[in-house]
Amino acid sequence: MLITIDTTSAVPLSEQVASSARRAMAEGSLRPGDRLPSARDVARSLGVNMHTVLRGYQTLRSEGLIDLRPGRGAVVTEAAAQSKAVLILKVRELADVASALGMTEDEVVQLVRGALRSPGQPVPHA
Amino acid sequence: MSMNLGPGQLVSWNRSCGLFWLMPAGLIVAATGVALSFSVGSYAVPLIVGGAGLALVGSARVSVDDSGVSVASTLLPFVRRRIPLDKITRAWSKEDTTLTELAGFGYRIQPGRTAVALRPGNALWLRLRTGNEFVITTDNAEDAAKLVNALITRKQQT
Repeated sequence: MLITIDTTSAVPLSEQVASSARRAMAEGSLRPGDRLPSARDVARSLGVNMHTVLRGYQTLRSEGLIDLRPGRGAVVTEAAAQSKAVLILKVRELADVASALGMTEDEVVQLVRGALRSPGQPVPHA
Repeated sequence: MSMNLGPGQLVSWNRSCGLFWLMPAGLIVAATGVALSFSVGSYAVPLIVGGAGLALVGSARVSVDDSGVSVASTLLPFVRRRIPLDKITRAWSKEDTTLTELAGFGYRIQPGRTAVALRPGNALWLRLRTGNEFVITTDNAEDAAKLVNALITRKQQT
């Protein structure tokens, strides 16, 4: 798994760690059953705090993409079939673009709802 | 395709390599050797040594970051080989690396080339400043090579 972190970005470092793992899952270089490198190794290698990496791993766990077991480390779940990681990645991008455009939460939700209700159609916008 | 790294970017690439069943297999062989040693005595020594060796090199983790390339045994992570970035001049990947050209399986030293050879196939090749080569068999070696070259370029620019 390739982890890239941009220290000049406003996105929290832990979220950037999580994004890197999601991308690896989406691309298929991390598959169900694969083990993520230990948080300590990643932290040492990047030169960031171990708790930053652990926070990123916690995010992935709350999304159901990895299992965190004491002593066994972080293992990619069966549920993290590629599609789900792709979706979460896209949602993250959507949220970033939307907030950069200064859109409100309701406007974004409305856009997504419109897209869901008319599959294959151009997205109606207000 | 090449990769560009900005000064504020932190990167780390990490992957386990080798065959997943080799380490447990080595441990089983070593344990069998220990069990047999009670009945056959010193005849079990090759089993113990061979099994332990297999367990040690059977599976490894290779990582690339700003400090260089390192490969460490999964079983005993302090058994590791580090190659500092400033000792590397160039990296590339070779899809059809054979164990014959690496002189066999395991940690192989030949004149001009050292290799961590755990299976045939894709491998990361490094050209060192000394003129020697260092080879690690790993999946996704293209990305590793790209990253090593990008890190070298960035280091030269600063």
